[in-house]
Amino acid sequence: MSIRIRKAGILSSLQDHGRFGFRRFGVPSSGSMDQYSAAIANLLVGNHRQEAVLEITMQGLQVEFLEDSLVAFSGNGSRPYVGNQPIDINKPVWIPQYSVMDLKYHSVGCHLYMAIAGGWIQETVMSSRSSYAAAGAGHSLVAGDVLQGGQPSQRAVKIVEQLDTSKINMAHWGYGAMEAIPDTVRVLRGPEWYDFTSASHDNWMNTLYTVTTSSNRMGYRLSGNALQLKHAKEMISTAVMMGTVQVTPDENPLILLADAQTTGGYPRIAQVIEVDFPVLAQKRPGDKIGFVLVEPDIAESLFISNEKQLLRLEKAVQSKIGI
Amino acid sequence: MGPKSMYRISEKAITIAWEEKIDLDIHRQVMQMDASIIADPFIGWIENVPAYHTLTIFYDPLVIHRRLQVDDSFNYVEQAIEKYFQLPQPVSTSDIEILKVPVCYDLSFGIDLTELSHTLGLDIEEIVRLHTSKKYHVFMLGFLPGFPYMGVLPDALTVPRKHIPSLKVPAGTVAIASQQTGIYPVDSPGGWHAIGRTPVSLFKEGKAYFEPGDIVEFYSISLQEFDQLKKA
Repeated sequence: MSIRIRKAGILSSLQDHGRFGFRRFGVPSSGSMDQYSAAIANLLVGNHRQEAVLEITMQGLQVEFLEDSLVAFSGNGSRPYVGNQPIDINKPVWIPQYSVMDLKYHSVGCHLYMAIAGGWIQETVMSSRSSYAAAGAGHSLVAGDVLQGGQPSQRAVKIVEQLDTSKINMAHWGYGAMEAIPDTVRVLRGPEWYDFTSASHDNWMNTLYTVTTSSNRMGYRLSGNALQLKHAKEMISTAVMMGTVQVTPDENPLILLADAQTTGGYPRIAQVIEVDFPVLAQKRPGDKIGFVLVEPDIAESLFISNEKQLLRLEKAVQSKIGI
Repeated sequence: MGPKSMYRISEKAITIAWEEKIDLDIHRQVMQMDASIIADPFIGWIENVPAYHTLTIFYDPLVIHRRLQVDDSFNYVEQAIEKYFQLPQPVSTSDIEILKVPVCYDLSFGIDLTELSHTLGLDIEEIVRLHTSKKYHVFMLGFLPGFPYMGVLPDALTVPRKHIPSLKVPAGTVAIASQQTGIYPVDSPGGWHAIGRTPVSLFKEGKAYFEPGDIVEFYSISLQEFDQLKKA
């Protein structure tokens, strides 16, 4: 199973669940921005949910299938079409050789994930297939790149047996109805929370912030009501991570994302909770976000129930396939 | 002197903070705690990020939840860390090797040397002499894979960052800002003042040339030597 990139679109790259153990050398985790959608796409083609997927940022990508392929899409930001035929998302899909697929404009979201049976192959660098060019791992895809799938699992073989492989064919089952992308993102208080004025706390919790065009896999720069420190603060750099909300000297928030640098020295007003990373990842320039404060024990129990939900989904896929 | 505080930065990371200053003794304690955890990691541990006065520990709450039936992983990790503090501090028996790093301070590489010479009121030769006169300590890696934050610079070389960062600083550029000196591993934007370039590759095949805790000394090389080393 393989494809060739014909038009690169805005940005696309291969990403798995991330790179761990190398932050001390300045190497970020990278990985899919929306791990939840990436996991769903993987499960629907019989993959382990942490396999490498193709992360597609908004519209414009065009690919040609060099071989028959079993794929699945999940997420937002664009919608797949072969000619005029829309391809369902959140379902296993059989695509015959020579099909040309366009990722077209979609009014909501930012990142769509395409999984292939067997997972996309990319050289493993520092125990991960996630692209992060500054560390010599993968690259943003360009026209002419050829991507190969790995060895399909037994589950994938079973899924293909259920499909009519003479044409484009979508399974009769899939991941349930699409939920709307929430308007709010939940956060913990950041380590420097109490260094901000109470007016800034009010702004942060009660007004909306807009994702600006200076946003990418490294971070989202937001604009909105000013966030001010009680007193000027010189900080010595320390570790930061995905979801850390730093306030830059222009008094605007900057949310660090998958490819963000591993250390930083700006005051941290908040930390986006893990289960809301997928929400954040589906925000795009122009979108407004509200922030809701939660306590750490709530964040942790949400994190654990999110994992349980993914395990239930995995079981549901197995029962559909009959393994 | 022990750490001042421990605080959570997310559901899966905790930071131990010592007194907030750039200080070799404090950093030594950071690195000792780092080594103790790596030598005998607790259940669920993923990785550590040492910085100037902090050690940040990443862990997996799901592993802790599954293997220990613990619902409050922060509390568990906090207790695990307390135990490392009670361990006898390892005594370093071997002398730390000094990494000697060649730097070409030619004006074509040290593009900010002329301006720095005016700002600091020092001859360029004096800037080079001062920069090569000290042993530096690698406090942390960050900003880009393999970028070492080294210090402490001689007082005479202390200079604030540039107001407007350069859009493209070439790979290998040795630069200074505030009390620190660093090296850009790849071409990137940067706000530090370029004083030279090293032929050494800072990040190759998944490995960083420096590690936190390393001791570094710079020595001056000619353009010719730079080219030879670059080819080697």
